[in-house]
Amino acid sequence: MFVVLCIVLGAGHSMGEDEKAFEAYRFNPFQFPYPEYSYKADIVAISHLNQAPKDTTSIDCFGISALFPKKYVDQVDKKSPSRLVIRSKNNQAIMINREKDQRMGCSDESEKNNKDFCSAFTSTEDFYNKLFTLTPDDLAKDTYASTGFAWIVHRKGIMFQRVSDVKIYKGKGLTIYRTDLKDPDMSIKTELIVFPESIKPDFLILSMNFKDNDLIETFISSAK
Amino acid sequence: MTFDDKRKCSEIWEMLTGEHTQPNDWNPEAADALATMLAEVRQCSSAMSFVPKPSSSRPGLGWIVIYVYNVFKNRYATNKGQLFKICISSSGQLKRDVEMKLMGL
Repeated sequence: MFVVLCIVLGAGHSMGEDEKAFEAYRFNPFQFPYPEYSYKADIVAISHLNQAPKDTTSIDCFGISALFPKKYVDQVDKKSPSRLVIRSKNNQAIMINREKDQRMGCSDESEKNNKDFCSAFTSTEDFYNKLFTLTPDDLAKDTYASTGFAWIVHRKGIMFQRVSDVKIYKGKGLTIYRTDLKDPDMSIKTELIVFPESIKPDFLILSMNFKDNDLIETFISSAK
Repeated sequence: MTFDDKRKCSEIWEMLTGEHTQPNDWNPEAADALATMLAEVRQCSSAMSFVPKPSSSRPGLGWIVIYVYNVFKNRYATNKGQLFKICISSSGQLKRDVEMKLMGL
């Protein structure tokens, strides 16, 4: 009888806690339970190279030239007017897409059905800057009081759910957003979203099926 | 993976992204990655509520060809990609993962 009483009381206590946690949802649907919502990127200054390192080769990436270690450059295929693939002999690959700025889907009739979200940023680069730097704590500040910013923070839960680390690199006329992926079922291990002033409003996405910090540093410090 | 499975993947990909592929471009890894992307877009967009929920957390080719294809064809074929555009933009990593796997990478 005592055991049954404990089980019933325990269940009642647990149900009460669940209800309590959910109660806040009545007033505010923006709940941020996952660690990804708190990801905040370190910002690293880009030091541009004065001289090409040994064993690197220059490749034109849709108007941006950059250096890549030769060991990764066995084949360079222009798959389409907006896709380039660099492959090594070991099938390590860098897929480079040139993208048009579609404002994360807000650039057409979708906008009228997503006014809050779409009003919180002016370009894809602006979106990424906020995605990589805003956290739930920032939403308490006057500057970020609008619902649109809450939607951007909420979006971190989708866009960072497979991500282990985020970083921003800033240089003259160039900003790069880096994500390192942790999902073993994905081919992609690292991505760079590259915003050079020279091809604005277009930008580049580099997707790699391997991780190599030296390659990333070489690319970032040589891109022009 | 049969030719019919590949054809269905090719059609769903085009309806979802507007990008054309040949059926023979598709392989099992790319199809599984497409299923993962579709499942995520489905959760993001209430416009996709007619697509049945996958029965496991790792949906695959079977879910696409048995449950998703006909619903997509009947309800979303005519340029309804607009309905999910914002959700697809948030699943860009998964889209690019499908693109990598289509190249055998």
